[in-house]
Amino acid sequence: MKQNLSVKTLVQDMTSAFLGEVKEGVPAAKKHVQIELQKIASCIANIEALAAKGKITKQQAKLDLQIAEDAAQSTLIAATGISEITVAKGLKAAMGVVTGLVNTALGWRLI
Amino acid sequence: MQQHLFKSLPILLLTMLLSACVAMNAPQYDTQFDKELTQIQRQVDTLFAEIKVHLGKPAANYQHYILEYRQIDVSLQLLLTRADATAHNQHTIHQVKLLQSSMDKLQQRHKLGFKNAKELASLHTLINSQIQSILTLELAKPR
Repeated sequence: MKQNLSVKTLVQDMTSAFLGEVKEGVPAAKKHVQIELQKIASCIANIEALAAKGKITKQQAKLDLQIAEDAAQSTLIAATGISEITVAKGLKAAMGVVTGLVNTALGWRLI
Repeated sequence: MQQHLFKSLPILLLTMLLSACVAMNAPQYDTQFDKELTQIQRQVDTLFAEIKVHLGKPAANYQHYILEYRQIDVSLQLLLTRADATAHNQHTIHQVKLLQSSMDKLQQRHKLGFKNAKELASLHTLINSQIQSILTLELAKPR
Protein backbone atom coordinates (compact mmCIF):
# COMPACT_ATOMS: atom_id res chain seq x y z
CA MET A 1 0.00 0.00 0.00
CA LYS A 2 1.36 3.40 -1.00
CA GLN A 3 1.95 5.86 1.85
CA ASN A 4 0.03 9.06 1.10
CA LEU A 5 0.23 10.58 4.55
CA SER A 6 3.12 12.80 5.53
CA VAL A 7 3.75 12.85 9.27
CA LYS A 8 5.26 16.30 8.92
CA THR A 9 2.16 17.69 7.20
CA LEU A 10 -0.20 15.99 9.63
CA VAL A 11 1.69 17.37 12.62
CA GLN A 12 1.80 20.86 11.08
CA ASP A 13 -1.94 20.86 10.37
CA MET A 14 -2.81 19.43 13.79
CA THR A 15 -0.48 21.80 15.65
CA SER A 16 -1.89 24.79 13.83
CA ALA A 17 -5.49 23.74 14.64
CA PHE A 18 -4.60 22.96 18.25
CA LEU A 19 -2.80 26.25 18.87
CA GLY A 20 -5.66 28.10 17.23
CA GLU A 21 -7.89 26.79 20.03
CA VAL A 22 -5.59 27.05 23.08
CA LYS A 23 -3.49 30.17 22.45
CA GLU A 24 -5.63 32.36 24.72
CA GLY A 25 -5.86 29.80 27.53
CA VAL A 26 -2.36 29.90 29.04
CA PRO A 27 -2.00 33.68 29.66
CA ALA A 28 -5.59 33.72 30.98
CA ALA A 29 -4.75 31.02 33.59
CA LYS A 30 -1.69 32.98 34.78
CA LYS A 31 -3.80 36.13 35.08
CA HIS A 32 -6.43 34.26 37.15
CA VAL A 33 -3.77 33.04 39.61
CA GLN A 34 -2.33 36.54 40.05
CA ILE A 35 -5.77 38.08 40.61
CA GLU A 36 -6.72 35.47 43.23
CA LEU A 37 -3.44 35.75 45.13
CA GLN A 38 -3.91 39.52 45.11
CA LYS A 39 -7.37 39.08 46.68
CA ILE A 40 -6.00 36.85 49.46
CA ALA A 41 -3.18 39.33 50.13
CA SER A 42 -5.73 42.17 50.35
CA CYS A 43 -7.85 40.13 52.76
CA ILE A 44 -4.82 39.56 55.02
CA ALA A 45 -3.91 43.26 54.90
CA ASN A 46 -7.51 44.15 55.79
CA ILE A 47 -7.48 41.73 58.74
CA GLU A 48 -4.22 43.25 59.98
CA ALA A 49 -5.71 46.76 59.82
CA LEU A 50 -8.87 45.70 61.70
CA ALA A 51 -6.86 43.71 64.28
CA ALA A 52 -4.66 46.76 64.96
CA LYS A 53 -7.84 48.71 65.84
CA GLY A 54 -9.24 45.81 67.88
CA LYS A 55 -12.20 45.57 65.50
CA ILE A 56 -11.90 41.89 64.65
CA THR A 57 -11.49 38.81 66.84
CA LYS A 58 -9.09 35.95 66.04
CA GLN A 59 -12.03 33.66 65.31
CA GLN A 60 -13.66 36.17 62.95
CA ALA A 61 -10.34 36.82 61.17
CA LYS A 62 -9.73 33.10 60.65
CA LEU A 63 -13.20 32.58 59.17
CA ASP A 64 -12.81 35.61 56.86
CA LEU A 65 -9.50 34.31 55.56
CA GLN A 66 -10.87 30.78 55.10
CA ILE A 67 -13.78 32.12 53.03
CA ALA A 68 -11.29 34.17 50.96
CA GLU A 69 -9.22 31.02 50.40
CA ASP A 70 -12.33 29.06 49.34
CA ALA A 71 -13.21 31.81 46.86
CA ALA A 72 -9.68 31.87 45.42
CA GLN A 73 -9.60 28.09 45.16
CA SER A 74 -12.96 28.03 43.40
CA THR A 75 -11.79 30.60 40.83
CA LEU A 76 -8.56 28.67 40.19
CA ILE A 77 -10.53 25.43 39.79
CA ALA A 78 -12.65 27.23 37.18
CA ALA A 79 -9.46 28.35 35.40
CA THR A 80 -8.12 24.76 35.47
CA GLY A 81 -11.43 23.38 34.20
CA ILE A 82 -11.58 25.96 31.42
CA SER A 83 -7.98 25.13 30.44
CA GLU A 84 -8.87 21.43 30.23
CA ILE A 85 -11.95 22.19 28.15
CA THR A 86 -9.81 24.41 25.90
CA VAL A 87 -7.23 21.64 25.49
CA ALA A 88 -10.02 19.16 24.70
CA LYS A 89 -11.39 21.58 22.07
CA GLY A 90 -7.87 21.99 20.68
CA LEU A 91 -7.43 18.22 20.34
CA LYS A 92 -10.84 17.95 18.72
CA ALA A 93 -9.86 20.67 16.24
CA ALA A 94 -6.54 18.92 15.59
CA MET A 95 -8.36 15.67 14.87
CA GLY A 96 -10.96 17.41 12.75
CA VAL A 97 -8.44 19.08 10.49
CA VAL A 98 -6.87 15.75 9.41
CA THR A 99 -9.98 13.55 9.43
CA GLY A 100 -10.55 13.67 5.66
CA LEU A 101 -6.87 13.24 4.87
CA VAL A 102 -6.41 10.22 7.15
CA ASN A 103 -9.64 8.46 6.23
CA THR A 104 -9.03 8.95 2.52
CA ALA A 105 -5.46 7.63 2.77
CA LEU A 106 -6.59 4.54 4.67
CA GLY A 107 -9.64 3.91 2.53
CA TRP A 108 -11.78 3.39 5.62
CA ARG A 109 -13.07 5.57 8.46
CA LEU A 110 -10.60 5.67 11.35
CA ILE A 111 -11.53 9.07 12.79
CA MET B 1 12.01 8.58 4.38
CA GLN B 2 9.01 6.48 3.33
CA GLN B 3 10.08 3.78 5.77
CA HIS B 4 10.40 6.33 8.55
CA LEU B 5 6.89 7.54 7.81
CA PHE B 6 5.59 3.99 7.77
CA LYS B 7 7.05 3.41 11.26
CA SER B 8 5.76 6.70 12.64
CA LEU B 9 2.21 6.46 11.32
CA PRO B 10 0.85 3.87 13.81
CA ILE B 11 2.23 5.92 16.71
CA LEU B 12 0.65 9.05 15.33
CA LEU B 13 -2.68 7.35 14.80
CA LEU B 14 -2.63 5.88 18.29
CA THR B 15 -1.88 9.32 19.71
CA MET B 16 -4.78 10.74 17.75
CA LEU B 17 -7.14 8.05 19.02
CA LEU B 18 -6.08 8.68 22.62
CA SER B 19 -6.52 12.39 22.04
CA ALA B 20 -10.00 11.79 20.75
CA CYS B 21 -10.83 9.91 23.97
CA VAL B 22 -9.54 12.84 26.06
CA ALA B 23 -11.54 15.30 23.98
CA MET B 24 -14.72 13.31 24.53
CA ASN B 25 -14.25 13.43 28.33
CA ALA B 26 -15.13 17.11 28.67
CA PRO B 27 -18.30 17.60 30.76
CA GLN B 28 -21.34 19.02 29.01
CA TYR B 29 -23.10 22.28 29.85
CA ASP B 30 -26.21 21.73 31.99
CA THR B 31 -29.05 24.25 31.60
CA GLN B 32 -30.82 23.08 34.75
CA PHE B 33 -27.62 23.42 36.79
CA ASP B 34 -27.25 26.98 35.47
CA LYS B 35 -30.85 27.80 36.54
CA GLU B 36 -30.41 26.28 40.02
CA LEU B 37 -27.15 28.17 40.53
CA THR B 38 -28.82 31.43 39.49
CA GLN B 39 -31.56 30.72 42.05
CA ILE B 40 -28.90 30.24 44.76
CA GLN B 41 -27.30 33.54 43.72
CA ARG B 42 -30.71 35.17 44.28
CA GLN B 43 -31.11 33.53 47.72
CA VAL B 44 -27.61 34.63 48.79
CA ASP B 45 -28.16 38.21 47.54
CA THR B 46 -31.47 38.38 49.43
CA LEU B 47 -29.83 37.08 52.61
CA PHE B 48 -27.08 39.70 52.53
CA ALA B 49 -29.55 42.48 51.62
CA GLU B 50 -31.76 41.57 54.60
CA ILE B 51 -28.84 41.50 57.03
CA LYS B 52 -27.56 44.83 55.68
CA VAL B 53 -30.95 46.54 56.20
CA HIS B 54 -31.00 45.49 59.87
CA LEU B 55 -27.29 45.87 60.62
CA GLY B 56 -26.67 47.29 64.10
CA LYS B 57 -30.11 46.15 65.30
CA PRO B 58 -31.19 42.89 66.99
CA ALA B 59 -32.99 41.94 63.76
CA ALA B 60 -29.55 41.40 62.14
CA ASN B 61 -28.71 38.61 64.60
CA TYR B 62 -28.10 35.09 63.33
CA GLN B 63 -31.18 33.50 64.92
CA HIS B 64 -33.46 35.51 62.60
CA TYR B 65 -31.83 33.99 59.50
CA ILE B 66 -31.71 30.28 60.36
CA LEU B 67 -34.49 29.48 57.87
CA GLU B 68 -32.74 31.38 55.04
CA TYR B 69 -29.47 29.53 55.68
CA ARG B 70 -31.33 26.22 55.77
CA GLN B 71 -33.01 26.97 52.43
CA ILE B 72 -29.64 27.80 50.85
CA ASP B 73 -28.19 24.57 52.31
CA VAL B 74 -30.98 22.54 50.70
CA SER B 75 -30.51 24.33 47.35
CA LEU B 76 -26.75 23.68 47.46
CA GLN B 77 -27.31 19.99 48.21
CA LEU B 78 -29.66 19.74 45.21
CA LEU B 79 -27.06 21.53 43.09
CA LEU B 80 -24.37 19.07 44.21
CA THR B 81 -26.61 16.13 43.32
CA ARG B 82 -27.16 17.68 39.89
CA ALA B 83 -23.42 18.22 39.37
CA ASP B 84 -22.69 14.68 40.51
CA ALA B 85 -25.03 13.29 37.85
CA THR B 86 -22.91 14.79 35.04
CA ALA B 87 -19.98 12.70 33.83
CA HIS B 88 -16.40 13.99 34.18
CA ASN B 89 -17.65 16.91 36.29
CA GLN B 90 -15.13 16.74 39.18
CA HIS B 91 -14.12 20.41 38.98
CA THR B 92 -17.69 21.66 39.34
CA ILE B 93 -18.39 19.17 42.14
CA HIS B 94 -15.32 20.45 44.00
CA GLN B 95 -16.47 24.06 43.53
CA VAL B 96 -19.97 23.35 44.87
CA LYS B 97 -18.46 21.61 47.93
CA LEU B 98 -16.26 24.67 48.51
CA LEU B 99 -19.32 26.91 48.35
CA GLN B 100 -21.10 24.68 50.87
CA SER B 101 -18.08 24.95 53.14
CA SER B 102 -18.00 28.73 52.75
CA MET B 103 -21.71 29.01 53.59
CA ASP B 104 -21.05 26.98 56.77
CA LYS B 105 -18.25 29.39 57.68
CA LEU B 106 -20.50 32.35 56.89
CA GLN B 107 -23.05 30.99 59.37
CA GLN B 108 -20.34 30.67 62.03
CA ARG B 109 -19.22 34.21 61.18
CA HIS B 110 -22.81 35.48 61.46
CA LYS B 111 -23.14 33.87 64.92
CA LEU B 112 -20.09 35.91 65.99
CA GLY B 113 -21.74 39.05 64.60
CA PHE B 114 -21.16 41.55 61.81
CA LYS B 115 -19.89 44.93 62.96
CA ASN B 116 -20.29 47.07 59.87
CA ALA B 117 -21.51 47.18 56.28
CA LYS B 118 -17.97 47.05 54.89
CA GLU B 119 -17.13 43.64 56.34
CA LEU B 120 -20.55 42.34 55.30
CA ALA B 121 -19.97 43.61 51.75
CA SER B 122 -16.54 41.98 51.70
CA LEU B 123 -18.00 38.57 52.63
CA HIS B 124 -20.82 39.04 50.12
CA THR B 125 -18.23 39.71 47.40
CA LEU B 126 -16.29 36.53 48.32
CA ILE B 127 -19.41 34.33 48.23
CA ASN B 128 -20.54 35.94 44.96
CA SER B 129 -17.08 35.38 43.52
CA GLN B 130 -17.48 31.64 44.18
CA ILE B 131 -20.91 31.52 42.54
CA GLN B 132 -19.56 33.45 39.55
CA SER B 133 -16.59 31.10 39.17
CA ILE B 134 -18.92 28.07 39.17
CA LEU B 135 -21.05 29.76 36.52
CA THR B 136 -17.99 30.74 34.46
CA LEU B 137 -16.85 27.12 34.29
CA GLU B 138 -20.36 25.90 33.48
CA LEU B 139 -20.73 28.38 30.62
CA ALA B 140 -17.35 27.29 29.18
CA LYS B 141 -18.53 23.68 28.83
CA PRO B 142 -19.45 22.40 25.36
CA ARG B 143 -23.16 22.30 24.51
